[in-house]
Amino acid sequence: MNASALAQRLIQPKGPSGSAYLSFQLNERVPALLPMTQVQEVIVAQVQQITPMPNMPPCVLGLSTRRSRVMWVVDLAYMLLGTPLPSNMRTYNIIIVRVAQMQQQNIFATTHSQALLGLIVPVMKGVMRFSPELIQTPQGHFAPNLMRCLRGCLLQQDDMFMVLDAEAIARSPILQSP
Amino acid sequence: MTTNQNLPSQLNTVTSDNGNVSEGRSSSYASGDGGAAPPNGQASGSRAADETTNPSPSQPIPKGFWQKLNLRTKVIGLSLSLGVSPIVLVGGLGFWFVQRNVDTQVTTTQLTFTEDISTFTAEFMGARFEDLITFSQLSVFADPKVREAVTVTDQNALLQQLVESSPVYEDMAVVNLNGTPVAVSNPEGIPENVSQNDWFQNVVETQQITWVQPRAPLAGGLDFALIGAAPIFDAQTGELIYIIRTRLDIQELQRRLDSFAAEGTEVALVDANEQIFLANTTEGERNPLLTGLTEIVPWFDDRESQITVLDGENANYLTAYAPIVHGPEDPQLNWSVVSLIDTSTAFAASQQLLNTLLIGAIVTVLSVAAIATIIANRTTLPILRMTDSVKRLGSGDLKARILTRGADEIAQLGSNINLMASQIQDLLRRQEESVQQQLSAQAQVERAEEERQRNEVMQRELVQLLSEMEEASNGNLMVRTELSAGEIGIIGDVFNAIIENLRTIVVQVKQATGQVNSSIDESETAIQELADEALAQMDEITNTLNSVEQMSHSIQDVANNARQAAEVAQVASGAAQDSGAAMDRTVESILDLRSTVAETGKKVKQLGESSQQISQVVSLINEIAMKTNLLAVNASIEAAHAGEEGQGFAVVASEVGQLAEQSAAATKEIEQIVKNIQMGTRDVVEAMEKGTTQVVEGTQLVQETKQGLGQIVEVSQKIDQLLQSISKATVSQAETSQTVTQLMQQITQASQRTSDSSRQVAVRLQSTVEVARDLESAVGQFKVKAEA
Repeated sequence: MNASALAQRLIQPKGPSGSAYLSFQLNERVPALLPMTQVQEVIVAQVQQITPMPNMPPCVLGLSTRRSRVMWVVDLAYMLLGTPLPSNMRTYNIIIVRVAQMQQQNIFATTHSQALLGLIVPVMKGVMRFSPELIQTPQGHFAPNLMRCLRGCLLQQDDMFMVLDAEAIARSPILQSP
Repeated sequence: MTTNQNLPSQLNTVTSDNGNVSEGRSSSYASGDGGAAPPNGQASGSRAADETTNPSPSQPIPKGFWQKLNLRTKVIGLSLSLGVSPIVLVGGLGFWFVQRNVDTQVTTTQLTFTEDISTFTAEFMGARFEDLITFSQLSVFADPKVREAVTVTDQNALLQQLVESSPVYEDMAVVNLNGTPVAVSNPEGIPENVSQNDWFQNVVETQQITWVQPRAPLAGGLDFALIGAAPIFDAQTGELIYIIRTRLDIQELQRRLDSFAAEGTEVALVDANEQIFLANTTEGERNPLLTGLTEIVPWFDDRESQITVLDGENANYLTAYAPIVHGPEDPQLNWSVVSLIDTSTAFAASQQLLNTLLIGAIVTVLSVAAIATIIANRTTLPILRMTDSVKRLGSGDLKARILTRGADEIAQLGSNINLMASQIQDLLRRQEESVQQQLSAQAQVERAEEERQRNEVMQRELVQLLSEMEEASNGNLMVRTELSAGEIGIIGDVFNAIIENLRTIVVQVKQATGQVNSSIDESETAIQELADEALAQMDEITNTLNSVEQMSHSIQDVANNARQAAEVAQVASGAAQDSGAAMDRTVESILDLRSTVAETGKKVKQLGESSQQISQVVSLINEIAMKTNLLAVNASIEAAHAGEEGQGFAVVASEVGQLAEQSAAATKEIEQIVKNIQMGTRDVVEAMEKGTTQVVEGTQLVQETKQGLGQIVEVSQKIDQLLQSISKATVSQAETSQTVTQLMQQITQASQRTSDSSRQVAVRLQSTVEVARDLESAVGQFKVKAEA
């Protein structure tokens, strides 16, 4: 029997120090990153905790509350890649990001200086640290919705991580009310 | 009594004449006939002559059976015929006249009865015609004023009242010229429109009263309907306005018919169509003769009263017919009456008369016959007895007597015959005595003369005989004496016979000695052969003896082999029994293996269940790892927000996150392992089940093998028994062959003796030959043939 994967992890050397990024999967093939500074919290919420709202884009699942604050919840994979979540899920992994309030009218406008936005992702992975200089401009062709929210790409161990920008996601025209 | 003295004198003359007795008798009768006998004797003599002369001319000419009958039969027959014939004659004549009278009376009665019914029916129907005329003139319908004044309800009530007042009517209705009912006694008794009915059309056409021939009701009722209709004319205008229709209750007519009909009589009314529409019997029990009568007789066309006897299926029937003739003014319906009565019922009176007469005649005849027989017996008995006695007298038994009783003529005759017989007896005795005296005197003289002559002849013949016999003493057996009458002749005859016998004996002795010689020669050679063959037999028996000894040896060998085979079979049987025990142990161990396998299977299943529990626990751990990971991420986030101060915390958080990831990976590995275990246990369970079935099959195979071994044991035991019986049989065979050997030796000795004794026989035969030759020469001295 081979040596346990657990043992291999334990002896893995520590990652390089630098800025912290939250790592997750957009879908099975596409890993993505968000700067930790933009992230407020990561939670697991029941489906019932999200109240659907009418007259909204299909990627916006509805409203939810977290610590006495109301936030919109968005299916990130549907929004960026056009692939909706499977309908039989009972719990959602939600990344809560803080975005700055704009002067212009935004649907997320609140009385607070910063607004909250829930992004639903299929799989949560963990925290990665690397220096911001490693981020490259995106290579190849991407969908325009994804392109608009992309800060850059990180190539590491044959994987290409999409480095996303929460502010760009919040300002995305897809989320504007139709 | 004078006749008694007359007879012996006549018999005396018979004996002195020494002539024929019958001749004398006839002459005596002739003299008796013609002689001057006293009147008493005259009567009896002439009667005796009648008795003897009467049968003599009748004997040669047989006159048929009257003469053959005896007196008793004749008397009985005569008295019977005199007694019976008047009774039979008078009785037969009387019966014939009376029966004719009675039959005529019965026939007339039946015809009258039928005509009565005819008349009655005619009157009945005539009354109905008058009724119809009356109904047609009812003012309620005929008079227009009254008609207008009366309502329909009242009209109906009137009709109903009419129907109820007369039991003859069943229904009544008035219809108008369109056929629509105007007034009805019963609304259901008539259809809505009757214009198509025949009676309606008849009345409209003829304007007269009409009767419809009886017919079966169309509506399916049970009885025939009798319908009559009459026109109703307006009283003022005289026009036809209505038609009144009545329906008769045929039951009423039948009741009256029943009251007419006597017991056993069948009466039927026949309409113009020759259909029976009314009868005092139901259709089912109706006589088929009555039903088919119209096809048998032409009476219905003649319309005349008729009566005759017709043959039915089971009996003869007296059948009467009468037409029903109505009054001259009434319409003729052409009906008829037919009555039928069984002849046995009708002519019962004459049958009774016949029976009475027959019984009376038979009784009378029987009594007359009995009386006649008794009287004839009593009358003829003494005569018959007398005839028997006279027959015995005639055949010479003069001791026979007749038993006489009474004083009538027959008794007198008997006593006279007795007297005659006793006198004849005396006469005969006396005659015999005188004849014997005469004969004895003559015989003495003749005997002396004959004696002398006979002596002389004998002496002569004796001398001649002796001279002839001299040759025989010299051995010549061809000598014969001359035969002559008298005693010497008899001696010569005897001598000849002796010589002849002697000669045949000598000849036979000669032939016998010759035969003895030749047969002894043959016997000698045969005995020699016998001795030789006895020796040959001895040799063969000795050979046989050797073969028997060899056989005995081989039997011994067989016995030994059989014993060895029995031992082998016993060894095989023991081995098979041992194998059976081993098989039992194998079965037990296989069963143990089976239970062990079952237990193992159970434990493996428990193992599978435990691994499932493990996988549940693992999924729980996985969940915990996920949550831990999230917590670590959140901790990192908080540390990042805290800035530089949170750096150390961030490191801890990342380590926690790594640990969570590692534990998640570890749980995945555990899941894989558990899956492998479950697959393994499933395979093991399948293998166990297969093993169990194989164990069962193995058990069965072992049991079959065990049965086979049991059969082997049985077979080897049987073989053992068979071999033992074989060895027993061989022992007895050996003994038998020993006995055979001994017997053979005895036979050898016996044949030796046979040979010896046959040689002795040969020697003795030689001496026998010599004896025979001596005998031959001795016999040769006799001359037995004439020297040629």
